[in-house]
Amino acid sequence: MINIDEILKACQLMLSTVREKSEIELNPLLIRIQYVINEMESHFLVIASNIEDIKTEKYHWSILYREGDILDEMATLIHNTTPVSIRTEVDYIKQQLITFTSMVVQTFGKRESLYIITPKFQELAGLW
Amino acid sequence: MMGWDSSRVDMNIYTQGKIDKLVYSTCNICSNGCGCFIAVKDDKIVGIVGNERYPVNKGRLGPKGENQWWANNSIDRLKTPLIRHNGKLLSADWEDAYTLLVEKTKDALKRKGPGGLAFYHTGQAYLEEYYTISKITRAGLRMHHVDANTRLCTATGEWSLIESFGSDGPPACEEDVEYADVIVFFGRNSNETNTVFWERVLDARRRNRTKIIEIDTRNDVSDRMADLSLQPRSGTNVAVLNGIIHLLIKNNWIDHAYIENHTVGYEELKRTVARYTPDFVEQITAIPQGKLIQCAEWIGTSEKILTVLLQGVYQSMDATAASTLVNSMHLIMGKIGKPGSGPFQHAGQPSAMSNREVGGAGFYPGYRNNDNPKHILEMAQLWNVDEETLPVGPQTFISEIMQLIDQGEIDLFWVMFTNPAVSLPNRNKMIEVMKKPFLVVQDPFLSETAELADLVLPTALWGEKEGTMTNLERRVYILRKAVNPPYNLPSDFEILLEFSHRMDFKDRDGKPLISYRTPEEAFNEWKAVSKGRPCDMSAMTYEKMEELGGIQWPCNEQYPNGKQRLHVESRESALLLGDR
Repeated sequence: MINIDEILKACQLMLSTVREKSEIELNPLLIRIQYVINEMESHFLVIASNIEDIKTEKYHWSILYREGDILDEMATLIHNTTPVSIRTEVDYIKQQLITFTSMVVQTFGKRESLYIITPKFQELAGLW
Repeated sequence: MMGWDSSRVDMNIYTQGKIDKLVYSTCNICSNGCGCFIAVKDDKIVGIVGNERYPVNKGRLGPKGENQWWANNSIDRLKTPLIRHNGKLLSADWEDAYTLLVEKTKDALKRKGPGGLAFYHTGQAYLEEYYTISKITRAGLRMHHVDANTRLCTATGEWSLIESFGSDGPPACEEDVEYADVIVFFGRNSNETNTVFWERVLDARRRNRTKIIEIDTRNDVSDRMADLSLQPRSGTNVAVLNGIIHLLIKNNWIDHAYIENHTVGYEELKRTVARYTPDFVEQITAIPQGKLIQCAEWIGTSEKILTVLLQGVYQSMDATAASTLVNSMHLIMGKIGKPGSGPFQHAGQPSAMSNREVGGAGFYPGYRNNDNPKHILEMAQLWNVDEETLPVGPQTFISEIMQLIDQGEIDLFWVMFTNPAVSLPNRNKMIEVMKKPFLVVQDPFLSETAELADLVLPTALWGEKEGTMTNLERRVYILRKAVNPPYNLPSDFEILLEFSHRMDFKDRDGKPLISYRTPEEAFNEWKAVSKGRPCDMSAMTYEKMEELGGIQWPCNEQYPNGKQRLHVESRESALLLGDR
């Protein structure tokens, strides 16, 4: 079950922290990560709206896992360049994506899931 | 036939008495890939001579190329493998080295699976070596954590070509230099980094009055020799290009028929660049408005324009976006796929292109997509392995690999022919990270990375092994073996084959996964894998490459001697549709 409110809350928290920092520091990573978070939010919202078309659902999950990879990488890059505390929220989103892997595998089967869930999240979830 | 004005044979030979022979080869230093002969005396390399008949250089050599053979004779070369005992690297024999490598690999696989291994390699090996890496790491070890130093080099060029054209492959070629009215160098100091290519450009300017535009943040020698020099603030390449495209559209220096028939997204591009007026661009880039306008005018009103780009674009802010905008600039003018016109994404290292073609890192061989089930199935059939065993999804970037090593997730890190202790950012941290796993380093010298290793495997160098490379214009060429390697050192290729044999990798019929024994046999297997792909090399042979002085892919039944330019067909169909 997707707890969309909690996910959106985490996204908003990240956004406000990053925006606050952007006002005092010109760091392109802080600008870029906002786009990633916004995009994640919109895909989570679509997934949570119980899409009936399985192809569309696959599309959104595929993007979400790829964004999960990017979010994690960018959070590390930001952490290495400036002190911004978004790691808790990033880890929460990652954890949610890990939790959803079993649901994705159940819906799409193992073979299809290989193309939806990125290797990183397959490994983190200990899927196979 | 266009070409160099004249030939000039550069040479650097140092020997007492006559040399024994000259062996056909190609330079191994930069992406230009100049034809040469290796001078040999008493089974030692004693010099190099430019190949007068070779189309790329007509006998010329760059200063680094002329002196590369000193490395072969260096007294610093490693003679035996080294194994770390009680903190010290000690000389070992090859049997012990291979046994340890296999033991540690199996141990890591047993404890953590393929995720416990990482492989980081190079842009300076031979095509056959990259192909073997691809096969071993994917079909043998089934691992994701594979990357190469090309990630820090020209991966941007590759991605910009994928974004614009759906596939890697620089559209233009070196001969375009002679046809172009204007050559734009963007972030490319050719005068000091590719002297042979720069000389060709100056030759063309002398003969054709070709205009040279330099766009570079630094006021380097190339800049000072240009007809027009733009020096944007660092990190503002996208604004420069948006500004140029804005002016091209505003002045209608664009090809409407070409846009209509061969492009998508023009309206979005037009909207994006609408606000990039010369005034706005000056505020961002510090380029005076007059200079930007003049630059756009030369680009827009010249019939043929070639844009050469390299690290000043690839390794700067918004690199892929800037590099992709160069492609877009050419597409909206329809200046692509014809002599003298096109974006020309150069590579830096000599064989970065080969690495990309055969899937040494990043994609599957033949530019096959890791996320495409059809491509995975094709590779499973070509390699005769079960589809389920091949890794799906993107490979891990080196930055992430280093993070995983730091977190203790990776137990064995194998580095081949590159020196991350020097080249990775945040060096001190990286050195500490590399002390954590079991570190294997394959290198002819005790590099800074090798000094950190637990196992060092010394290798043969250029001139001591055989294989092929691809240069910056898709020209695949042969590098012949001139001498035996000193101390009986194996090549990278031979080490990989021995490793595969000892790991007992099998295909689905229980036969050895790797059945080829020589680089030429490996190339022949790769040819079949490349068939029908953009980088099709199915009609190439070693002999033909030597005879023709390299061959530009695609090379197949349709183009038996290769193809100079890509996207020519779209150009021709546009002409049929009433294009200018």
